[in-house]
Amino acid sequence: MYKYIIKRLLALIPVVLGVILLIFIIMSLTPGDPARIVLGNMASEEAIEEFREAQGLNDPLLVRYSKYVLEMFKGSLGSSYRTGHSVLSELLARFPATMQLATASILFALIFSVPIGAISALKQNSVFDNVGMIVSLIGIAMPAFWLALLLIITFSLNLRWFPSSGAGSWEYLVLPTIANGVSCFANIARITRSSMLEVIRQDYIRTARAKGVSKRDVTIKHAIRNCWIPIITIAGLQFGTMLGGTVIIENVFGWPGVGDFLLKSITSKDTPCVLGAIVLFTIVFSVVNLAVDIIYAYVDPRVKAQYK
Amino acid sequence: MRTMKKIGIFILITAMLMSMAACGGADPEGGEEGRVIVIAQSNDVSSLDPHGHNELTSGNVTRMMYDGLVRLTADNEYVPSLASSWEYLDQNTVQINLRDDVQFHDGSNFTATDVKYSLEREAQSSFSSHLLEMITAIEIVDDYSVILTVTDQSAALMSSLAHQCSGIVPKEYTENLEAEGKKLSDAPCGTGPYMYDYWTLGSECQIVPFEGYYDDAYAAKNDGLRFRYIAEDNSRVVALETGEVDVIIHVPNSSIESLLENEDVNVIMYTSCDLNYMSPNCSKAPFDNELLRRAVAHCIDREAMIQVQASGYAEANYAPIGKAAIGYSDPTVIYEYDLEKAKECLVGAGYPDGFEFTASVWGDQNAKSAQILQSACKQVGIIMSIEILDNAGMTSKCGGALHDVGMDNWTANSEPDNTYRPWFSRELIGAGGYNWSCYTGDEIETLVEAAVSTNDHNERLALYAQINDFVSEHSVVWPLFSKEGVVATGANVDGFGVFATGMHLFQNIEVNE
Repeated sequence: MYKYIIKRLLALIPVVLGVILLIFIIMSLTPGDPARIVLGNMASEEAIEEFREAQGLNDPLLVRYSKYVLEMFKGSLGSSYRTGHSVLSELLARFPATMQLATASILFALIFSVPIGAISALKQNSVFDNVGMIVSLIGIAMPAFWLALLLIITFSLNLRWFPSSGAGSWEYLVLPTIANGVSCFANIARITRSSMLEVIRQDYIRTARAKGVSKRDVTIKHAIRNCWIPIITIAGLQFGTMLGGTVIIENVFGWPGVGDFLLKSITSKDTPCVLGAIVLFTIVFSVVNLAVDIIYAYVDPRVKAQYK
Repeated sequence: MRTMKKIGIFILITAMLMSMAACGGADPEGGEEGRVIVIAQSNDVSSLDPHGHNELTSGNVTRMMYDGLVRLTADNEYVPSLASSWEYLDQNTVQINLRDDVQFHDGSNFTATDVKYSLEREAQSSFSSHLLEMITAIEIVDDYSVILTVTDQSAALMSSLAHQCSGIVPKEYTENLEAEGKKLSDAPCGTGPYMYDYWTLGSECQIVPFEGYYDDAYAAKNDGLRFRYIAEDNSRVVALETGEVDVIIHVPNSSIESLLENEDVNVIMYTSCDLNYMSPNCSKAPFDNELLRRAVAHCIDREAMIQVQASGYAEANYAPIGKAAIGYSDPTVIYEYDLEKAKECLVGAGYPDGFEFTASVWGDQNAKSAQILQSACKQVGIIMSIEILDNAGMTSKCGGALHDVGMDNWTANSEPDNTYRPWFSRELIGAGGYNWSCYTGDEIETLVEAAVSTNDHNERLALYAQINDFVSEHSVVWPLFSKEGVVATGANVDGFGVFATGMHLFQNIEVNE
């Protein structure tokens, strides 16, 4: 198992290097001179040249790439062109907020979606099933931006229950969590329902019932446990994506996470910040995927056997 | 055992969420003694070093923490701030006498050494070096006076010294800080009415009153200012309506109407220094032909653009500078919306069937006005294509003089030379700057140089009026309109200090609970 984890972590290195090269190429292909964007159009040619020289922007792409990779292995992600702050400190300042929102959103989604999906399957074609699946469909179809504004208008502007934007105490987390978690909830609820429908038609479930095991025990101890693999897969993917920053939600709710930081960095051609954020996302996404694979092993002993 | 494991996982997740919530930043409602004014901005603060940026969002904070030698009043007059007086000893020498009763936030005394250090530091900053190009030497006379040696073209000196980038910083404190590998931006220290409290990256920044401030007239009258970053327009407006913030500086046009009807909100409108404009590239075909420039100028329906892009909250403008800016004047010759005259110009230019060009447009909002022009042009046979670009794209294309027409917004500051020079200096054509009209004749540049070489204010205004006339008559730039400046505050908020340049004052803001 440990060998497997180490192997997966080592496989991250070429992935990160490839991603960095890709971002370097994309950023150099996009129009605009970072020096001019950062210093403004009033800056003199001398100041622009000085800035370009200081930031190594006059070097060829491969030289810049090599320097960046070397620095990265020394633990530095460079400094922001725009603010002069260390990219690592900028990311560390914002990542906890993104982590907080993503964790709350995935928990919100799991807590509601798994029971609703399971009950919908057990009561297939009932009113509960139909209502549950219509709600899920709406959740998937509804743009997060629109839902976020609806929540703000209803719960902030009209009812004054929760603040409309910012971060701080738990009240600030409620609306962004719902806006962020709804589509995730809808996806997981639908996956849970379909895999539950598949499982409850299996022979071993019928056998358990024939042996006299109660419906409750069959559902909890046999059926749901066998549904976990697809649920964990989709939840892991969603969680990884959310940890990459949810630009729209962070923007609408003024949430100080990495998504908004990345967007701003891209528009200002702040390459070190874009690279730093993408490297972070790559690592986080890969680690979440690895965690999902490890969880598979604990959920399904057959998978664990394959890791040896 | 299994139940214990589940309980353990539940406790772990709960603890993780709670701990993250605890480190999520300051609680705006708790832990304070007085009433802090909360101001929402559409951008995040980038630096708290006055020499480390040149933009309004950060400037709103740094202007409150760092005073300069000179202050600009709302009536566009330059008055002493850290300077007590100044005197031109001759055309190239200015003696500046300093106040002797000023302290920095760290308790050290303000002296001429700090002035020399700060101006030299500013002159080395990539962000602000262009402001002090007229200063060739700084000499300390004694603790409380300095002599500046300036070039012949030094009319912009006072506006440069009053600029938000010309804040004075303490020499010893800053040098010690930098020797420790730290930055002034992370531990700001100036002589302004507010001192640094905290800054949460990507979220908010708070400053609190400085008790030892030297000037009662500009001292803080509230318990502090918190600048919150809320990027989304609607969210900023809702935050004001719910009372979560006291002031929003950037009010979206689409919300002005509803805010005006809201009794809990006070909308402040003022004539701004903003200008929405289009610049034809006069250095290449088709717009090296003046008649073709005039033909398009006659297709510009400013009133329609104002309705569509600014929801009616703007004024038509024919001068290449904002309506409230120093240097503005009504041009004597203007080309109004008249499609028949446009056709005449086309015939006169030898293009009776029209021609084609591409407008490079910054942002979706400007594209709305561009579409109005596109439609009018089509009626006279001119085929106009629109390409919407981001900031980087505009800089690359229009700054590089690769465009046919560039379309953008411009906010003039208190010094007209800071608009006319970058717009018309021939050495800046294609250099990545803002000379998008690329006009190669020497008429405008001669006037720009003359205006910055005289200290006679009226003479300067007359020269700028001549530039406005020339630019309008020869269609060198197509000014469109100046948007109304709009700031919204809670109905219980008083004392917001409006400045047409957007460099507002916040010291006097008070909330009547």
